[in-house]
Amino acid sequence: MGRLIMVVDDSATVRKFVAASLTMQGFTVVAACDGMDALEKLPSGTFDLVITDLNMPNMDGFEFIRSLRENPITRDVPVIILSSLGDLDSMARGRELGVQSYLMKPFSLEKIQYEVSKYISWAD
Amino acid sequence: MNDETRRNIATLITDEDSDERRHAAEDLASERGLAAIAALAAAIQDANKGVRDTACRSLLAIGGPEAARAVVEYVASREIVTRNLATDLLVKIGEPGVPALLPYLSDVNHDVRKSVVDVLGLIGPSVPVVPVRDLLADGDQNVVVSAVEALGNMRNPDAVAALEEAYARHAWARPAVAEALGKIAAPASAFFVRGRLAEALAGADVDPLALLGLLEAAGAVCGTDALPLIAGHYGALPSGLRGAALHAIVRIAVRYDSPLPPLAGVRETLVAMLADAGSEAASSAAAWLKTLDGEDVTAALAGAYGSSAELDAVLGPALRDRPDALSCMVSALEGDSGSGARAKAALLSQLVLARIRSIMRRGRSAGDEGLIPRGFEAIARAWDRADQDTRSSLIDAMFRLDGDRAVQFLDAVMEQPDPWLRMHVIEVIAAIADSRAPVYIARFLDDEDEMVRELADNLLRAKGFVADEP
Amino acid sequence: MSPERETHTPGGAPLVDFRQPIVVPGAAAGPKMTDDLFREIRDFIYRLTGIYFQDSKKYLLEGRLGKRLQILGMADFAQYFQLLRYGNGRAEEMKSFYDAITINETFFFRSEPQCEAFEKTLVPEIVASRRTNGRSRLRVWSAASSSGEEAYSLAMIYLERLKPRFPALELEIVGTDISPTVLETARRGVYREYSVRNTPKPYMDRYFESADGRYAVREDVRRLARFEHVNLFDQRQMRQMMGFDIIFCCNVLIYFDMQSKIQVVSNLYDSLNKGGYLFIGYAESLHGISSAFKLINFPKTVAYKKE
Repeated sequence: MGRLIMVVDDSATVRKFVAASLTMQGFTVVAACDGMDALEKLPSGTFDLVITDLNMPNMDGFEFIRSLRENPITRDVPVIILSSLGDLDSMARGRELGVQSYLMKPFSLEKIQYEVSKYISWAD
Repeated sequence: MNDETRRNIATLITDEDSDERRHAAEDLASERGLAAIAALAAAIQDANKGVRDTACRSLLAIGGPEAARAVVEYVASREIVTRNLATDLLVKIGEPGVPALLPYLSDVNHDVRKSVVDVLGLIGPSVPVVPVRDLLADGDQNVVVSAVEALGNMRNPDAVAALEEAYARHAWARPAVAEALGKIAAPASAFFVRGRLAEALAGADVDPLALLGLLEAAGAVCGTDALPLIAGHYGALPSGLRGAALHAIVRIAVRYDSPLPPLAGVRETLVAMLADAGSEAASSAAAWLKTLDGEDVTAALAGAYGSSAELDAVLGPALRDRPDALSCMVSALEGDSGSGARAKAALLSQLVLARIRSIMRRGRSAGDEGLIPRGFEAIARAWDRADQDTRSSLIDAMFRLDGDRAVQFLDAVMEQPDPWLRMHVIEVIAAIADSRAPVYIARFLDDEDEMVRELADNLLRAKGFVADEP
Repeated sequence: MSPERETHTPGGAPLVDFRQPIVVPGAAAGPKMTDDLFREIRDFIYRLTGIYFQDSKKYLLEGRLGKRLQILGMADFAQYFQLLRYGNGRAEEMKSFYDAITINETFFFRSEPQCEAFEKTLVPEIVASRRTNGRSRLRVWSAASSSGEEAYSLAMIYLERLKPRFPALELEIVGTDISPTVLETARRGVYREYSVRNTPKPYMDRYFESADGRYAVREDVRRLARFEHVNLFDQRQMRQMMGFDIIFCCNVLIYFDMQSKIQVVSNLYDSLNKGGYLFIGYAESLHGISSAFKLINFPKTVAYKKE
C-alpha cells in the first residue's frame, strides 16, 4: 500500500502536474480545490503528507493549515506550502503553523519530488 | 436612499452583534445604490465569517460592473482572506467586471498581476486576448505561467503563436504551455505540437511534465500521423505517462474514426485508468478495453461500474455484450462495499433478466448452476445499502433468480417501513405465475398503510380470491 | 439445447413468460404524465419546498402521484394538479401530496461517527461554554426528521451517556418534516425490525419495548422529543426555528438544487446559536453552498460550526 498525499490548489493545472509528479513515483494522490474541499476529503484516508497552495477561494491555505493543526488526527502531518507568494510575512506565518517546507512556484518535477522525499520515501 | 437602507448600512458598519450585521448584509442584497454596494464590499473584511459570506452573496446578487468596481480594489489587500474573497467574487461576477480588472494587469505588485490574470482566465472566452497575451513578456515567472494558463482557459486561437514562442523561450513554462495549446485545440497548432512531441519522445533529458502536457495536447489537436509516433514510443514511456499516451491515442482515433493501433502491454494501464472514474481518461480506457477479449477485461469493467454516470454509460452496454459479464458482475458486487454497489446491483438484475431470457430461448448452459445461488447472495447482501429505486430492481432480480428463496426474503421486505416498496413487492409477486402468490399477497391485507391494503385487495379480487371474512 | 420452453428458473422457481409484457392483473394501466405537465408540477414542488425533481425522476412522480389518482378516482394528472392548486379539498390532499414527493429512508443510530462527535465533543463543549451564564438546556433540531429515528437516537445517547455526566443538563429535541405520515409515525414511536437493525444492544434493552415484531420507544425517551411540520424552504416557518445548539440536516439537501441548498443552509445558520454546530449527511458537502461556517474535522465525519 503506497503513501497517501493530499494536494490542495485551486488551479486544475497545478493539481494535475503536481499529482503527476507524485504518482510517477508511486504515491497515491487525493486532490482538493481549496481548503474547505480538502477538509471535507480528509476523513477519506490517513494522509502522510499535505501539499497546499495559499491563495484559494472558500478557505485559504493558512486557515486550512490552522485547522489541520487544531485536529488531533492531523496535528503532526507534514505540510509543504507550494505558493507564488514569496513575501517574508507569508513565510513567517507558515513557520508559525509548523510548516516544514515552503516551495516557490513555478515548480518543477524535480523540486516537488526532492522536497517530498524529505518526509516520505518512495512507495514500494 | 431610504431610511431602511440607511439603517442597514449603519448596522452593517457599526453593530457589535454579528448576527445583526449579517441580517443587514442580507437585506442590502436588493439595493443598487453605490453607498450600499460600497458598504457590502467593505464588509468582506468583516471579522465574522458569517457576515463575510452573506456580504459576498449579496454582492453577487447585485452583480454587474458596479459590484465589480466596488470589489476590485480589494484584490490588492494585504489580507489573504480579503484578497481571496475579492478574486472569487470577481470570477463569479464574470464578464461585466472585466473592464474594472484590466488596469490591474499593470499593477506594480506581481502578486496582484498574477491574481488578476488568474481571475480573467477563469472568466474565460469573453476576455480580450491582447492584454493577457502581453503578460507572456512579464518579468515575473508566476505571472507568465498564470498568463499561459489563462490563455488556455480563454480558448482563443489568437494566442497560439505567442504561446508557441513562449514554449521555445521558457523551459519552466513548457508543461503549462503544452496544456494550454491542448485546451485551445486550434488545428493550426497541430504541426507545432507534433514536432515538439517527436523531439520530446526521442530526447534523453526531457521534462516528464512537459511530455505529459504534449501528449494531452496531441490528443486534442493532432491528426492520425501522430498515432504511430505515440504508439511507437509507448513501451519506452515511464509508467506514469502511459495513461496519457493511451488517452491521446483514443481521442485521435475517435476524432478521425480511425482504428486503434495494435499495441501490446496496454491492459494494465487501461485498467488503472478506470480507477479515476469521472475522468475522460477513464472513458477512453473503457472504449479501448471493450474491444479486447478476456475475462480479466470483463472483470475490470465490472469492477469499475457504478462510480460515475459518464463512465457507466460506456461500461453498461459494453458489459451487456460480453459473455462472462454475469459472473464477473456477481464477483464485483461481492467485493464492493461502497457507493458503487447500488449501480452494480441494478446492472446485475438486468443481466440476470437477460440471462433468463436467453435460457428460455436456447436452454441452460454450463456454469449457470452455481451462478444462481451466488447471484442471489450478492443481491441479498446489496439490499441493505441499496436505495429505493435499486431495491425495486433487486426484488425483480431475486424473484427471477430463485422465487423460493425470494419468498423467504419476503419477511425482511415486509419489514420495510416504506409503503411504496411494499406495494412494488406485491405487484412483482402478482406478476409471477406461482400458486403461492395469493397467500403472500394476502399477508398485506392488514398492512398499516391504506394504499398497500387497497392494492393487495384489488389484486386478490382480480385473481379471483376474496379475503377471508373475520 | 432443449427446444421446449423453460418454465422454471435454474433455481426451481416458476418463470414469468417474458415474451408477454408484465401486466399486473387488477391494477389500472398507469396513467402517463406529459413532459409539459411534469415540468409544471416540478416547478410547483420546487416553489413550495425547494425539492427539485430531475428529468430522470419523472417516473417516480408518475408512479406515486398515479396512486393518488387511483384513490381519488381521477382520470388524469391535469385534473389532479388542478385540485392541488385550486380545488376545495386541496389542504387535505396536500398532506398526501407531501407524502408522495418525499423519500424517507432512515434508521436508528444511522451515523455512528456523528453520534460519537455529538456525545464526546459537541455536547461537552457547549456545556462547558455555558458554565458561566448558567443556561442548562441544550436545544437540538433534527431537520427532515422523517419517522423520528434520528431524533430518538440522540435522546437515547443523552439519557445513556450525557445525563449521567451532566446531571443539570436538560435536552430538548425538535424533529421536523413536511410529510404528515412520517410525523405521525415519529409521534407514535413504534418501529419495525428494519429501523432498529443498527441499534447497539444496550440501547435496545434499555430504551425499547418490543412486542409482535414491533419496537416501541419508551416514554422517557419520547418525552424528550416533539415533532412538528416545518418546511425548510418556507422563510416564515424557518424564522420561528431559532436558538438551536446543534442541527442535524442529513440526507435531505441532496433533493434540493444549488439555489435552494444555499437558501436552506443560510436559514440553518441563522437558526443556530453562536458556537452551535450543523451536521449534514455523510456524502454531502457545503462546498459552494456556504462558507459561513468553520469546518471541524472528526474521525470519519465533519461538522460545521457557527462562530
